[in-house]
Amino acid sequence: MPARQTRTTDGERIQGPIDIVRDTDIVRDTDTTQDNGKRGALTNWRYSPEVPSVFLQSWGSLLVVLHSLSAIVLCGASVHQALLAVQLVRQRPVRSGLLRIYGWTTLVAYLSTVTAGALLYPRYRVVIRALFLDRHAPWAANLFDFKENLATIGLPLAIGALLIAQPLSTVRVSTSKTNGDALNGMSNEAASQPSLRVVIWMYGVMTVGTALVCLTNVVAGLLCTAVRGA
Amino acid sequence: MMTDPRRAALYASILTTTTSLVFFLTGVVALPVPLYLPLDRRWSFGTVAGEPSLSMDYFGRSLIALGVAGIVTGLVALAAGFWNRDRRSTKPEPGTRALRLGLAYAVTAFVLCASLFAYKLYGREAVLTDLPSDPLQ
Repeated sequence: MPARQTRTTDGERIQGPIDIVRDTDIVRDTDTTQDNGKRGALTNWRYSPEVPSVFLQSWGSLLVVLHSLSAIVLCGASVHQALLAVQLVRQRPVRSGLLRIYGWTTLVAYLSTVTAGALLYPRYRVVIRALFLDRHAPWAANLFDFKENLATIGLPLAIGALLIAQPLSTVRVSTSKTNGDALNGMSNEAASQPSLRVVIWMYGVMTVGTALVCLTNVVAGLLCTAVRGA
Repeated sequence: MMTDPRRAALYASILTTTTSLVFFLTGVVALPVPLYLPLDRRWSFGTVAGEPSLSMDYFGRSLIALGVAGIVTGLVALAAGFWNRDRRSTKPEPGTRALRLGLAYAVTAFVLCASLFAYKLYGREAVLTDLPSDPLQ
């Protein structure tokens, strides 16, 4: 369809919105890495029918949405969990139920994000990285790989935080009431036991570590996506 | 689920330390791991250098690191259980020193592993994959 032309109020002729036609045989991608005499011409790497399709390639968009939604939940839960841990380290009372809820939510969201990402990975490796990022933005491919590796070594932090949160939430030495809400906290006596203090610090390290890994990965993922999306 | 937070903390630190150490090992030594070949849609076992086609070792390295860490942590938990049964006494709690060491090892291993991959990937040269060329060219 030809591009429409419109006129401004003072009569000047301007170019109208251009209709984008997606034709997998014709639409091509500019290749600037090779001096093949066609600089500025378009090289169809992305949609070449000669490149075999990969596992779940047609499910890519749905998986990206699932991956993103899981990551949003994960960021919220992990940051809340880290804030709870900081409260515990500061010997402030917290709701014991929240330790378990955020622990489980973080771990389930983490596993969901990793699973969706793992299902997407073959498609990313061929369609995004091999055909585009390695040629045009290798830094983004490196950042993406760092993000993936960080996700793997961050998983035990989320598991560890839940392992500690379960018994920690049952250490109910005293119960206080504040503003009508039941706060199940540890007494100063219990919380000041040296070994329990170390456990609380370990919980803090695990939860803050999980939150940092999640936030780092979200920023890295957005940067990689923005290579073509922005 | 465990009822003692000290024991849980010790197992959590063992899990974290072992995962990071094994993952670190896969980053410095070309260990044979399960490889996925996305273009061929099949799995293989070996090293990336030994595969002529485009291959992915991330799944294999992750599975090995998490699997070994899970097995090691499970074995430690089992051993602690047997030890307690033989002693026929109340379960001794991990001491403050053991917990502090566990925390220190976990943090060190995690930071070391993350630093290694940041170092390896910073400025990595892309190896262009030999894919089927464009029939339109």
